[in-house]
Amino acid sequence: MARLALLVLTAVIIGALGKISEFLPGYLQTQLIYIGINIILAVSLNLINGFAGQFSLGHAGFMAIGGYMAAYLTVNYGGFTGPGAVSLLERAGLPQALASPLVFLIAILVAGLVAGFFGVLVGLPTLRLRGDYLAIATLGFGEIIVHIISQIEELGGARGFSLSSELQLSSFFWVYAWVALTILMARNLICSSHGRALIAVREDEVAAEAMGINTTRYKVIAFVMGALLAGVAGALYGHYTMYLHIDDLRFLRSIEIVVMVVLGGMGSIAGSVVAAVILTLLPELLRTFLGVASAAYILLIGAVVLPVRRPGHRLAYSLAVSSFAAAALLGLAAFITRADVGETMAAAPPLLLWICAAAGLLASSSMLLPGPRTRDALSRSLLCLLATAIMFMLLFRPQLLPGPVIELRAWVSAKLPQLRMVIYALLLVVLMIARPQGLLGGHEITWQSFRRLLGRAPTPTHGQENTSS
Amino acid sequence: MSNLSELAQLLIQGISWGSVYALIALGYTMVYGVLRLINFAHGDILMVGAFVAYFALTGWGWNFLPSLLLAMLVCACFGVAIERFAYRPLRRQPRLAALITAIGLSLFLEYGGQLTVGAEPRPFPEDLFTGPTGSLLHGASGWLTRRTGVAITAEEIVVLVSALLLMVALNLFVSRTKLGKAMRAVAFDRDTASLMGINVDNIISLTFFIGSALAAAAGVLVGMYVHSIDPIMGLMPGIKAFVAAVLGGIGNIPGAMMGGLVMGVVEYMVAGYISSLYRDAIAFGLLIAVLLIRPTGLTGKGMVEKV
Repeated sequence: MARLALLVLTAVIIGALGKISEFLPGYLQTQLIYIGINIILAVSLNLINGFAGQFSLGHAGFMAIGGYMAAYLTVNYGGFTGPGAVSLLERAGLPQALASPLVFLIAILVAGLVAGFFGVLVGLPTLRLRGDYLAIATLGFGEIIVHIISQIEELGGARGFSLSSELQLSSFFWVYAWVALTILMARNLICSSHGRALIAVREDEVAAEAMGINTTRYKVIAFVMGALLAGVAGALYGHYTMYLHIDDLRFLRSIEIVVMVVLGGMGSIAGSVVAAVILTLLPELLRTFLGVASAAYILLIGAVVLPVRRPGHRLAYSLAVSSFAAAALLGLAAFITRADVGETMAAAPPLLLWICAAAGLLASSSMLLPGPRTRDALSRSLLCLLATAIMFMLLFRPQLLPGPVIELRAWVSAKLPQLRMVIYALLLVVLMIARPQGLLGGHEITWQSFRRLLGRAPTPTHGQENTSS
Repeated sequence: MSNLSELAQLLIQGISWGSVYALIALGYTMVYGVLRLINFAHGDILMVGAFVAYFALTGWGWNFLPSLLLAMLVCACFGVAIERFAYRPLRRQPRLAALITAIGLSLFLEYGGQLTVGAEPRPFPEDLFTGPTGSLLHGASGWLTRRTGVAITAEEIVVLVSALLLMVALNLFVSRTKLGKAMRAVAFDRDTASLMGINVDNIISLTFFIGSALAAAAGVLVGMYVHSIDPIMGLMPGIKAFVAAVLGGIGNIPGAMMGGLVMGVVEYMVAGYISSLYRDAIAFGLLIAVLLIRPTGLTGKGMVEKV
């Protein structure tokens, strides 16, 4: 009963958030949808890569199968524009408001099942391979799948598959309901005996086999579940963009999903979610100069302040974290207003900017507050102060800065369309070198971890160290 | 044209294109051998090499050979720098972290290329060979064409000869010199090699040096063969060459050469006899078939698992 109530509550919350999201600017709504789809993809791939330890590079292939399958169904049999399932259901007495979501749901489920079926087809033979050979075999399958799709005329061939605008069925509610379902399914799988078996296979395949685990069976289970959810994500994607093209669903997309999984932390569902959010928003954030500046600022503050975490520094640490969050807020402001530096004052609420400025100052001085005043803390603090000063001069009083900085700013602003992906790639490299275990490194975000952060629960003696072969 | 000469024609084209794949695959396989790392940025080093040669040829009016050598040298240093700053900090970390850095670097080089030289494809200069070399080459091409009845272009001769020379040189280096021996030792067992007094860091740098130089040479050959270069030109040959390296058994130098040749010939055969639309699909299908029959590639040795 409690579980049912929780499910209903989740649905209601997602519905309410969906209604709220309708007040956001259009491009932000789009980004929210993409975030949701990427979360499904990353979490489902994490089942294969992170938990079962099988390195797959063909996830986009299953996404393509799901996307094309669902689109084919709704276009040809859906009856959203002509005779078909929806009109049949309506004739049977079902109101249109119910009939069309029902048909869409069936299309998604069929797409997921077909993708899962292909998961069995691909997984059964290839999962005998190990390590990089498996990666290449899955990459090959992904490529073969899209090449075959591009030869099918009913699916638009190499031109791509366009859907009419009535078929934009994916909405915030649909996507995030599936996100919740995906996370729930992944969590339940991991916490079951199946999940333990998967982790055993990841840690040591030979030992797992010796313990009586049918390794092939569990690997295929993880693979199929990942493929099924990727198919669902593809169906949601196709019915949002209303256009499917194989070039968007090839190995570059697979690699993008792998990056999310590894950056978030292999074998951490929360990590995949966080990384999916960051990696979807980051290229968008870097579209404006304000965004680039705030990304640089966040990175700098993060790099300088966050490593300082000693006992006795708790207040300093929490201050630093809160000011870090404020710096992130500045980035968010940049993102929401999409303002370039000249328009900042007009577009962003000035109050927000001043709050951010104050938070930046706080970040700088928080190192000085309690605890031992070491030279290290002093220099970190001064560095933050300098960065904050430059940042806000850049935003509020650019005329005070020396000429070369202004020129640099102008150059960056002018070159942004090309520069942003360069910065994105560099950030990826830097993040990975800074945190090789991934952002969350195999840990999960749970209520317990919040309590631990507040000092109300004992820290575990052994961390969930993540090893990958 | 008779069936036989058509076959010979496709074979020649396949072998020369395959030898380009083989050159790229060598870099993948060598790096994999010493680091167990799929160097995703390798295909983009190829692109850098092609652009260096392009600017040397068109901007400074250099000849083909010096441009090729310059491209190889620049890329070799570039590859060493990449290893030093992006891969070495992660050497003791999970292998996937280095893989993601490699992907990041690959994106960096592609978008950086678009930033600096623009995204539009540029025509790679044709008629690179003038003077005595040119007349010699064209003469040879004409003679071969007349003698065998199979059209062999001057470019194909250059591609074949330079790829062959580089591969022979590499084979001699790896099998006959002390450094080559050290490289094999590092690939075999890094820790033991370092106990035997081999400077592992230097050997890894050397591996990147050679691999990137070969990639640059391949880049120039691709540019010459396709007549067009752009910042993402390394992507597809890179992936295909990697597939070729796996096909031959990754980490294995003769395997990479064989894999590259097989890949090139199969692609041209499929394009010639079936349809160029299925070229990639069949190439990947072949890969999967080989992997399912021989899970460690054509020349791969079965791994003995110790528990």
